[in-house]
Amino acid sequence: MSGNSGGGSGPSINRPSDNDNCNDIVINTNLASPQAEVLDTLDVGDILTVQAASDQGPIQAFKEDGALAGNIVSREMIRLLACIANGTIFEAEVTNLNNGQCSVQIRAVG
Amino acid sequence: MELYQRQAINDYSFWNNFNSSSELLPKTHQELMPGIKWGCYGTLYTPAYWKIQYLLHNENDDFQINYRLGNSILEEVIACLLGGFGMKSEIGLAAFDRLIERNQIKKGVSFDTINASLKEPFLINNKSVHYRFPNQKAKFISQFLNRIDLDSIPFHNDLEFRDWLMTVNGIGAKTASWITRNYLDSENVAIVDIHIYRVGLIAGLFTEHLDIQKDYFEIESRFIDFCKAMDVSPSKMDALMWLQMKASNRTVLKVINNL
Repeated sequence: MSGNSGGGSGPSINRPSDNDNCNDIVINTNLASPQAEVLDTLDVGDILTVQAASDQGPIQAFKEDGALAGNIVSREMIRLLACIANGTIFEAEVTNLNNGQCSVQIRAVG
Repeated sequence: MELYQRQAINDYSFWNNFNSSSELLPKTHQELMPGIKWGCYGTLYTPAYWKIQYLLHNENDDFQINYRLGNSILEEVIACLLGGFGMKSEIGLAAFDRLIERNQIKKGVSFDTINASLKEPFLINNKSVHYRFPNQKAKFISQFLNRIDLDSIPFHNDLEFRDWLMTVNGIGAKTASWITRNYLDSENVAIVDIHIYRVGLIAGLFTEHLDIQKDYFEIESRFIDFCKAMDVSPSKMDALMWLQMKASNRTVLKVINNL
C-alpha cells in the first residue's frame, strides 16, 4: 500500500488514453503563445517540428525555416518530454487556423 | 496526411474557453505569492505549469479521484493501519480483505483474533507470503476496535475529525489527513508526502529545513495557501501533482539536485 497515504494506494484520474508507447501518442491541442507573424504564413496541413528546449520543457513548435510558431501545452507534457528525451521525434500538423489560434495534431514521425 | 482520431488526447476544448492564450496563461515574472513567481507555464513544476495542468485536467478529465479503500470509517482506518512501512500494497490489501471476509472489522474484536488472522500466510501470485509485523498491527487494530469513543467520532468538523484520527495508535498526520479528505471531502487538509514536498521545494514554497513528519502542519498550511493563491482545489491539485511527480521522478530529482 505505497503511495499517497500511509495506507492507501495513490490517486488515479480517468484518462482517455494511457498508452505508454511513444509512437502511439497523438495529441490534439492549440499552440500556446502563438506568434502572430508566423501564423500568418501557415496553412492547414503544414507540418511543424516539435522540440523540447530542455528535459523540463518548454516544448516548442517550429516552422521549417526555424521560426517559432508557438509552444505546446498538453496534459501529456510529462510523457511527451520523456519520449522526446528518449529519442522519439514528433511533428505537429496544423489542423485549423482561426482568430489567432492554431490547432495542431502532434504525433510521432515515422 | 490522415489525422488520427483514435486514442488521441484531445485538448482542443480547453482552448475554446478563451479568446486568446494571453488571457489564460499566467505571466512568467508576476508574483503568485510573496517571493514566488508564476514561472513559465511550459516548464515542468513551475506554479504556472501546475495551474495550466489543473485547468487542462479539469476541462478534459472527469477528475474523479478515488482514494477510498473501505466502506466505513472502521474499515478505512484499518486498511490504512495494515499498509505502510514499505510493505507491498498487495499484502496490505490481502490482509484487509481477509479481515473483512472473516467479519473481524467490528467493535470489540480482540488482539488474538486479529493476530491469528494476520499470522496465517497469504497466497499472492501463487506464492505463500507472510504479513510483516503481525503483532504490532494486531495491537493497533484491536486497540482501535476497542476504543470507547467509536460512537462519538467528530464527523461534524474536518479538523476535529483529523485530530481524533491522530489519537489512534499507528495513524500519523499524513494518513489522518488522507482519511479526512476521503471521508469529509475536506479541502482544509492536504496529503503531504515526498512528492508534494518536492513540489514545494522546487517552487520555493518551503526549504529543506522543514521536515515532513515534524513540520507536517506548517508544510500543509503553506501548501493550502499556495493552492488558494493559484485558485485551485487542494484535493484535486495534490492528486494531480502526486501523479505527475511520481511519473517523472528522475527529472524531479535532477531539478532538486540543481536547486
